[in-house]
Amino acid sequence: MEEEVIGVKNLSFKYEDKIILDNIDLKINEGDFVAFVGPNGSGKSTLLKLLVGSLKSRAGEVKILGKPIKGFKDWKRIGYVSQNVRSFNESFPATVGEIVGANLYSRMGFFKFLTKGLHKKVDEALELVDMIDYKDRLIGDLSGGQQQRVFIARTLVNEVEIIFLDEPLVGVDAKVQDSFYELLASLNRRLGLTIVMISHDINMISNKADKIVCFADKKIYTHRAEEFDYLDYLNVIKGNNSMVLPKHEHKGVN
Amino acid sequence: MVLEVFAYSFMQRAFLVGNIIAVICPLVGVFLVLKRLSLIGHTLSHIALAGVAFGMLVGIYPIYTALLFSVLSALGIEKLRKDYKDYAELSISIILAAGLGIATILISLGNNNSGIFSYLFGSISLVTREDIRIVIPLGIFIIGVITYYYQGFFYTAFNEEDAKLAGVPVYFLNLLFIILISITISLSMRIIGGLLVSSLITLPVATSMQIAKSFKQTILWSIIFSVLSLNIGLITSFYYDLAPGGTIIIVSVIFLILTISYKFVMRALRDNKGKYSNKEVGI
Repeated sequence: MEEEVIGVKNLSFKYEDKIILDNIDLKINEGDFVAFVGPNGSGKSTLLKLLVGSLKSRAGEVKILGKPIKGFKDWKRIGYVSQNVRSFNESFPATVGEIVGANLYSRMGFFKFLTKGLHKKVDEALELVDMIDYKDRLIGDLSGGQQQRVFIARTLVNEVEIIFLDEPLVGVDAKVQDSFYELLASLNRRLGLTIVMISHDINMISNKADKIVCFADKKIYTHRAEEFDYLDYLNVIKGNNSMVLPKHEHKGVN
Repeated sequence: MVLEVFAYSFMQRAFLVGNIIAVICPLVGVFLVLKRLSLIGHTLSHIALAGVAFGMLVGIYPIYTALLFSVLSALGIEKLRKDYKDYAELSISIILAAGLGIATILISLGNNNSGIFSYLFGSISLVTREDIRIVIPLGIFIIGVITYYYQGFFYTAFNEEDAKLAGVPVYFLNLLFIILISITISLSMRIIGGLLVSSLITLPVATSMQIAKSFKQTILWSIIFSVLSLNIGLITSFYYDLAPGGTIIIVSVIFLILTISYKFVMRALRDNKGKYSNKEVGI
């Protein structure tokens, strides 16, 4: 049986008086590639933030890697690439290697320096995302897609088991997006990484993800990718720009 | 002739204190500039000036009161920065105004204009043994703290949110950092003077950022530029009887201009070369 890495039960969340998520359940297994889809404001980012502990809910239960999130300390095993990860100061004078290495903070010894072993981890992470040749380049000199790969490497350096991504490809062109999704899929296959990402990209949903979580009316519905009728989804988006998630029967809830 | 400079004991003291300051100013300056807080240095130096005036008035050694005033107001700035989250520069100008106001009143109460003058523009002949006793341990303290928390400060400067997730104690480091800046400024006032100290914190960093290829290089080059500026500035100040604050800062500005020109020329040469090689390909 596959091991459950994320378990959500009866979770509710509200901002002041506005209910965002109402009594939802979610189960994500080890090695799943999960896409969160839904209109803006439907609670995708909120759920992601609840899962990485940057938001806290009073009602319901969240378990990460088998442990309740309240006392969860093993954040090294979790990677999070936030929506505004690329909104850093482009002329920040730091190299790719320095930025990836900084994420090893909690593994550094008494003096916060990178040892030989830690340098090796940086190299390995950069190799995984095919960016080792850029190790000594300034981060600001890289393109958007390359920067995104560096930020993935920054999470991989800690040997993470789950990576959360919040719409990581806003403002990156379509061709680069494709190769980025290919990278995620290969990390998912090769390392057995669990990937949970928010995306509006139909191509990626149909090809790469194996579970799709739809957000609508404060609820969520989990589909297997093969059950998800993305043509229907596409047609509705074409007809109505304001509606990112079309009406469809939420069949195949697991 | 150059050796004459080192023969006087007051100059030896000035060089000793000056070089320690020349290391710690850009060291904290790199993080200050990258956190986009350059103006905090300027504000804290005005507060420190109020501290100096207070010390002179009540008869306490002015560097101590400068330290006390600037550390307390640094904590005030951190608090105001949270209260006016979207107007960070507002908190800085509030404290700046308050500091300068208090300094003006205390100076006019004190009637010791020549004394305050040396703290405004710096002085080489007035560096005392007392100054050395303060600057050496605190200088070592600052270098030690920055070395120890190097990665934490680096990550916090790059992105506070991500640093938090990586386990960096961001809140504590921000507090610690602003205390380090206020200590650095109070220590530097003797040589550089309150009006110009913030420039020694930011100018060498600005110069270094023009040529550095990594964060480590940024720190290294900014210390090199700062130490060079300080020593050339001090020697000039000695021979031409000028206030050292002015000469040190002008040398720093010259370094900045030279670096920008160098970069400009190199780029022009490279572009030119590129043009020719393209032509060759075209042929």
